[in-house]
Amino acid sequence: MRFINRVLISGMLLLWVVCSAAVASVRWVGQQQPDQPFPLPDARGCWDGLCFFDIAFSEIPAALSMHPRISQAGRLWDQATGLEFVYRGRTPVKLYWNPASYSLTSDHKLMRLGDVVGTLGAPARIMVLEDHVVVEYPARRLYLLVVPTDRNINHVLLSPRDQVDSLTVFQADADQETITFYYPFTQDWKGFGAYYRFP
Amino acid sequence: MRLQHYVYDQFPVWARPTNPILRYLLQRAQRRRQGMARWLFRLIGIGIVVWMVAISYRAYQGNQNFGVSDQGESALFSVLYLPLLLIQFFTFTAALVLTSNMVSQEQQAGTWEAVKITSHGAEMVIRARWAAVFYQLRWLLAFLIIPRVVFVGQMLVDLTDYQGYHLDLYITGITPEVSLEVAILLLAGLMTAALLLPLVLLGLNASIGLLLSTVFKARGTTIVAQTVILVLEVLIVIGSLSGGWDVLDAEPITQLTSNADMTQKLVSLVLLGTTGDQGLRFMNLETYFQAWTDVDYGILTGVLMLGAMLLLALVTNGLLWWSARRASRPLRG
Repeated sequence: MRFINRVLISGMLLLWVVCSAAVASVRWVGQQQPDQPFPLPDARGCWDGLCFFDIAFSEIPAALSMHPRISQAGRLWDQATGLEFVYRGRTPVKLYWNPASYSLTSDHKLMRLGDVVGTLGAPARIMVLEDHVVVEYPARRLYLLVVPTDRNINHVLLSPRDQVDSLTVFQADADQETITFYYPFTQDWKGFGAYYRFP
Repeated sequence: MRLQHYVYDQFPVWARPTNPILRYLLQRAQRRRQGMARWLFRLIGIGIVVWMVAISYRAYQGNQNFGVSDQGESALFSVLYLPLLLIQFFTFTAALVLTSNMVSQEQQAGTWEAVKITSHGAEMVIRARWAAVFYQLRWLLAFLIIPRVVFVGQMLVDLTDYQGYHLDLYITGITPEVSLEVAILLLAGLMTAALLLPLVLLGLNASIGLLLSTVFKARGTTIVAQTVILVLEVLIVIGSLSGGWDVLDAEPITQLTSNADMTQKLVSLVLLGTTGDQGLRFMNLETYFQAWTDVDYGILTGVLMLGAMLLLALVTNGLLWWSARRASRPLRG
């Protein structure tokens, strides 16, 4: 009767090796995909080659117009420091600028939280607000506003599928008072899953 | 054909389709349901499966999924989960029923005495009858295994998401922290367990049936024993399913506030994956990943299922050995 175990164990080991190889292979295949359609700011705070802190606001429209992946750049009619443009011909983006920070936001899907965490790694902490969650990368001075798909009166469930509504980058030498959120509902990042939402 | 021969060569003589005893048992079972009756039986079976899928589809459209959460699962998974669960249980029941009358059938056919006086005859028949169940239920097994292979394929496709970092996303912040290489092995362990568990459970039920057939000679007593075993199995399955579903479908806030023992949660997940639905629920990547984050050591569920599977295989071995020993006892004067 030992045959059951002999056949089962050899079959199991073979299948385990095949499945492990398949998992490792598809992970590699996934990494060969082109970069996500909407890039994240780099470590210097520049976005897709545009370093908004290095130029005056009046120079930004011209910089946007010259960018190869940006079209229809123009000023937001109701914002003194707001601009709008179309990225890669399909994503309308609004840019809000001040000397200490800039934000990029869109009514269209920019990226998913999983895309960000996959690229930048785990964030330092999150802050659960009423309708949004702020995901914080203080080392990069990057703050993302995420819309959790599952939220309740007392919790939010963060998933990689959650959409990033906007991203904000603070200038490296900006006043610490400006870039630190003193908000009582900050929680350490502990992976995707449930987080408290304080009433 | 050469591959088929190679695979058969790995089996012992009594489990090969060329074995005369096995062929005799299969041909006799085939003769019992001739032509029209066999086709009618198959058509009714297919009709029931189609009906179950249709009912499940209607439930899915009405957001009344059974056994799956309303988030994270694909449409295909949500629709097929309940029908597959029922087919699984039917298959295991069939394995038990097909074998539990083995000795009394041989006695009715007048072959049992001849088998017993042959050297190792009773032992060989017990083993061959156990192997015959796999051949007899091959189409039902295909119904169980093929969707699982499709789900594994879907899991692999889902792993390419997030620029290939889907797996990496779920190993940050969990207990215990594991490296990427270990996470790959653990995830592959779940896939392996989910693909093999239906075969092991089928073998276990067939060996339980064979033991019943050697312990209870009278047909009436065998039916009572069969019923008792089936009721016990139903209770085990329901208990395992409800315990595991409670953990997986708990309100997220209870994951934060509940003081429930993490070991208990992990045991519930392993029972769901082995005696409950044989890993079917975990074949949705997001559900399985969520178990990693919600339950400490939840990442070990797959390998623990593999361990439980080997334990069940050992039990199957023991039951077969015991059945063969009982069947080989000399006839009483």
